[in-house]
Amino acid sequence: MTGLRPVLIVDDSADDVELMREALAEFKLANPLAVARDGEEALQYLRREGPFVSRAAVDPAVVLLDLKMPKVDGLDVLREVRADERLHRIPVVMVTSSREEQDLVRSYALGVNAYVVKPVDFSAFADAVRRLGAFWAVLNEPPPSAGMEAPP
Amino acid sequence: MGPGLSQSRRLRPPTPPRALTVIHTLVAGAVLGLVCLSSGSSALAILLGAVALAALGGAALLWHRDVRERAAAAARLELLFSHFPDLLVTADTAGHFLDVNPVWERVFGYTAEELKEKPFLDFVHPDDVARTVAMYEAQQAGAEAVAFVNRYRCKDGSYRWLEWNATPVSVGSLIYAMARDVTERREADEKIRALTVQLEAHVAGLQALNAELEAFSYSVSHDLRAPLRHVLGFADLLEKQVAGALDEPGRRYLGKVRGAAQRMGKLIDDLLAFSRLGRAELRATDVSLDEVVRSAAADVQEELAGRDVDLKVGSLPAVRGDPSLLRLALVNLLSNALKYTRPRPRAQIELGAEPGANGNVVVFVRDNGVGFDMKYADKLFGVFQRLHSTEQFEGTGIGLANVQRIVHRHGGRVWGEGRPDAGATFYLSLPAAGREAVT
Repeated sequence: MTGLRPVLIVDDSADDVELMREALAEFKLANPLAVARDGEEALQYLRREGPFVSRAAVDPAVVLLDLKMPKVDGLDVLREVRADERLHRIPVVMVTSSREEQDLVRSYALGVNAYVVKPVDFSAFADAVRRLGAFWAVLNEPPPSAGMEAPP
Repeated sequence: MGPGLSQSRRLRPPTPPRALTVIHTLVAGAVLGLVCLSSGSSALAILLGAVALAALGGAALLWHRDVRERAAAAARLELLFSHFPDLLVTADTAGHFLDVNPVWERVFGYTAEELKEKPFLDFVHPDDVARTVAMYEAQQAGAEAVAFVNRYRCKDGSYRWLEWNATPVSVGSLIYAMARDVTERREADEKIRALTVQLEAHVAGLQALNAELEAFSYSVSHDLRAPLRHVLGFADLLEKQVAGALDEPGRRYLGKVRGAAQRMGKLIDDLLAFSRLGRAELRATDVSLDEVVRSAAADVQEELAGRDVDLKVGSLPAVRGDPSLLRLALVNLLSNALKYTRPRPRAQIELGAEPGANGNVVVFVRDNGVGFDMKYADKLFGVFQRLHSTEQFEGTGIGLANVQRIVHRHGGRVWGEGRPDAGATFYLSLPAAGREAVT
């Protein structure tokens, strides 16, 4: 399998997802985009459960994780991912509206790889998303996919 | 009859009057003389009798002196007993007081006789009887009472708290005890306890309020920002999409949409920063204001670009406070001074300090800027209160509110003086170094 790893966006706001798509499209990111609309869906995607049973056994290059979401929030997702033997190496970046001290502290305590505040200004926001894509999907070498390690 | 008088009989050992002693001696001598004469004794016998008589007289004199000394010691003890400031008492095994010193009458209003005629348990507060009995029994078994506390009834029906120290004495199975009236002390303690409880409730309420505020600002910072980002984002995308198709008013409207959203973003950020200032922990140390001002001045360097500014900094003392918060306050004041002197060809800004009331330090920042009308002085420090339009001078109006919040958190005061078009001076009173002061 030589396909590019997907970038997983986890965000409950359709508007944010659309703006991120736009920003990444302008940057012409070649990696496929996957979207989960809340934390529960994100975990199903990562574990290939529910609607994602049949997706390819490839871990995303990075998870761009919103913090404040209904049901299972970003911190819960991060905690589950880090506790899961098959998922714990996947890079996770918090992408959130605010820079609240407590969120920063908790995110890093749970082992987040990076923490990015979405700027209110769109050009700054688009720039942040582009740079995230450029670093995590292109420049960074992700850990071997747990799915790919499995014997064929 | 006072209890002191009744005591004297008990405490004083039997002291034969001096006259009686002399009579004893004379009688003894006479008897001896009669015995000698009646037996028809010789001169030698009479001599012997005289010697014996002299010896007896000497012994009688010695005895007399001893008795006198003992009487004097007893009188001293009696004085000590009747003038001792605490409550002294002896009690028997049957549960009666035997001796009480005069303080009892003063504290409780009962005479000594009244106190002694009933078992002392009759005077003890019903709630304290069981403990008192237990203590009394322990004492009879040889235990010492140390700081044992119970209540005794006064003649007027009220109760006084007594703190007891007692030693059991095996001779005669009596108990010798000393008590101190600790009613006032206990009442004061009780008041302190009640105040503490009140204070704790108050603090709990404030903590709940703080938590609520925290939750509120957390949600503001997350939820109010997101729609703004969307407004700005889609306005940008719209512009890109239809850039060529928009006419001049269309582009202007779009510009206004973006400007308004950006301004709201700034307001939200300012409000959040203001709210954080109120919640942030105050780390007070002795702070060199010279250093704080140097660092604050470095912060406003950018605003000096292309301007003729004469910034004078006087000698500044050390104050007690949080260096990062004080720096923020001074950055705000300096930045204000720079902003409102912009119309001046040469801005003159002076930063100095003078001694204030109660050993506080008053720091001032004076400028030759546009000033303000003192009738609006009370509006200077309100959140988002402005005395100029944003077209004249940019800003949201949070700066001086931040300054005030910072100074208030230091227990200080902030005020401003100015005249329209004749400059302004802002003053902060801060605790001097080494003091945890309030205004």
